[in-house]
Amino acid sequence: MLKKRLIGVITVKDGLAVQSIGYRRYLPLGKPWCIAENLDRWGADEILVLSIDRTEKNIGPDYKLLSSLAKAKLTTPLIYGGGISNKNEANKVIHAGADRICLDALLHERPRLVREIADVLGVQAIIGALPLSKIGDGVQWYNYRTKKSGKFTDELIKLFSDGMMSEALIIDWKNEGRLNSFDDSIIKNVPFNVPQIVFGGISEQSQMNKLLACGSVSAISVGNFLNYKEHAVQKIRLSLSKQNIRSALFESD
Amino acid sequence: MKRLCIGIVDYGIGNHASMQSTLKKLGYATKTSKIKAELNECDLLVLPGVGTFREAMFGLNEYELREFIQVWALQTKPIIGICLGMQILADKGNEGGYIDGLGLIPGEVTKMKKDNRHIGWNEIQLTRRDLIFVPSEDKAFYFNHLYVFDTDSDHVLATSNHSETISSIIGNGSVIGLQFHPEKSQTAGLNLFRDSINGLCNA
Repeated sequence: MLKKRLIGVITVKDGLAVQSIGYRRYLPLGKPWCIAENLDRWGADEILVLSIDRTEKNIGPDYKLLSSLAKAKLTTPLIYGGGISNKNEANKVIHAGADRICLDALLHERPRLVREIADVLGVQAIIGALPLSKIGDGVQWYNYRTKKSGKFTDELIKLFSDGMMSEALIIDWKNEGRLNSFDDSIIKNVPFNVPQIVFGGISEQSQMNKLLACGSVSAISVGNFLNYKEHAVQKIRLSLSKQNIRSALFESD
Repeated sequence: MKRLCIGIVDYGIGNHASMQSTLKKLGYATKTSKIKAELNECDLLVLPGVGTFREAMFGLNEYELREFIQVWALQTKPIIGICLGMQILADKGNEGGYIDGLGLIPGEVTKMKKDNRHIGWNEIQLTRRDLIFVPSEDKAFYFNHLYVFDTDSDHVLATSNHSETISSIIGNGSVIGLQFHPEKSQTAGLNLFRDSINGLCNA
């Protein structure tokens, strides 16, 4: 039976892994490939690397980072997001070591190119990132470059509804980096029906249990909270043993 | 003893670096190429995944690799197709219109009927007690696909349960197809990948 997933997230800024807090403050953590190696060894279901400054700086995907991750010989699926602006770059990112890609800016600025990328890589390889916050009775997506929130456009809704991306990465950007603070009301207000990967302020077993029980949630993502202790991924799996996720697996098994 | 050399066929798309790093981790030499003379020196060919059927066949035709791979299989030399690489082994794929595949394993690739995506970790159950795959029975592997390979039961070696039964391992002589990504399925994937390569090359 297909399992729901526990994804380890590495946020990268200026080539360094950082702890991101509310999309505003960034604390340095170290080399991204070191964290990736840990997540790989601990058995994360996927590793998501988000290079958050590439599009803003207009410098394209971080191929140097991907090369360092490839040298780490990870055997865990790798998702890369950051700076992808066309199908050639998307393809090159996959050649360079990623297995799936994550798009944010392109969804809003040039949605036609998302369809072109889907024609080359396949929809299964594409995740759409949506930093969201609750505003009034609904949710709005956050443009991290202009630092403004806005309503979903018809074009964005159509892109998801047409199935151009396999999953949506729903980010509670305001609570990112804060303990036990993911606002699960935002996932109920998304205006299209696509499997959801949730991220932002998820740190406690009770939250994870509640989120994994939601039918729309296919995966939970955890960032720096996984770095606080050795084998954090395995400990989480043990605490969630009644949920439909992979069991904890140790080398001695 | 000479190290086995695995040829990763470059048809313009595919997760080449992931494939190379896992094969090197397993101790094999690798060559990623679209040049027939270079691939001809290899002991086994891998058709990598991540892409669309249409793009893969376009690349194979553009680089004149279609016939090369078909002759390779006729000579009973080993091939492992992974995910998309498994799907292009079919007679044809239906992806916005029918496209001819390599025709190395009879069958057709079509979109999943109900829940139209199979993304994540799932177990495999053997339908035939093939010695190569027995150690991997009931282990979980990483799948990431929307299309499935429909073939007759003679060519299905393992299945996985989802909204429909998925052919997760298929085979025809020296050619096998893996719907999941062994290169990205951690310890279980490494073991199965090694067993597959060694099993095919020593047959």
